[in-house]
Amino acid sequence: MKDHLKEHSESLRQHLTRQFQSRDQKKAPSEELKSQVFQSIDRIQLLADMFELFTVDFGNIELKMIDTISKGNDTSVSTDADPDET
Amino acid sequence: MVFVKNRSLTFQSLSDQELIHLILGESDRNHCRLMQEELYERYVDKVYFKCISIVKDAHLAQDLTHDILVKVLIRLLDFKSTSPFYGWVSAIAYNSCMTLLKQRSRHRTLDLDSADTDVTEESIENENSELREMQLDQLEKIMEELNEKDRLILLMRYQDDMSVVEIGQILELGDSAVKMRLKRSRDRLAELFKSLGV
Repeated sequence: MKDHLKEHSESLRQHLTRQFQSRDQKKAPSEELKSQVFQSIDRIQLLADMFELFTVDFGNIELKMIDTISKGNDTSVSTDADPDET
Repeated sequence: MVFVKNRSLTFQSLSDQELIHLILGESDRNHCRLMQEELYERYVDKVYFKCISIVKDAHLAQDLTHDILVKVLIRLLDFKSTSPFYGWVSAIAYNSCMTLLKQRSRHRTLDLDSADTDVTEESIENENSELREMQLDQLEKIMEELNEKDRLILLMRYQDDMSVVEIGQILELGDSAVKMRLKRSRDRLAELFKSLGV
């Protein structure tokens, strides 16, 4: 009995699947959609680049500046108090 | 150079997975764009058809298609190459349609989260056995009459051949709730079929 029910259920599912998949799928959106989609992607990409600039790159630049400043300080310290000179 | 000249042809012969792999590894933005365009062309009509089948409004369907394709192309890193790409795109499309329907239902106070009742798929599908007689033109008419949430779940089940589990994952529902919702939608499909007087 259960097998019989399962068989009927499966045949109905197959029939409905066939009908749904045979529907005319030729509807298409307007031509402008493509440019709109890629403009949006460009905008998001630009924002991501700016975010990266102000986080990763800005962080790197900041580190370089600190490095340069500290090197400058080290030089002045080392000339002022070079142990070999004394 | 030859590769660049025949680029579009080269891309057409690639599978979705191969194309995505190339996009993710491409550092040249122009090349990346060409490959994204190829993916766009492959899926735009399918996504639009899904959206218009659910919302029945060309303008809204176009807006939804825009959002879905932007999401798909931006989030390619999230795609797990072990599953078919079309399934992933469909899940994003149905999720976006679902979100829209939920937003609308808040205004219309429609119940999208109905009661969870334990039912078996076999017993349910047999209740609507008259649907075996339904023809394609009749289905098209009935789809116009059905409400959005019925169309959504029927499309998932029968057009995309999704399992109850897959539907449940997208709708964030348990198996029984999905089966019950499918039953109700099929009941309405059967009612409308009977009302055609065939």
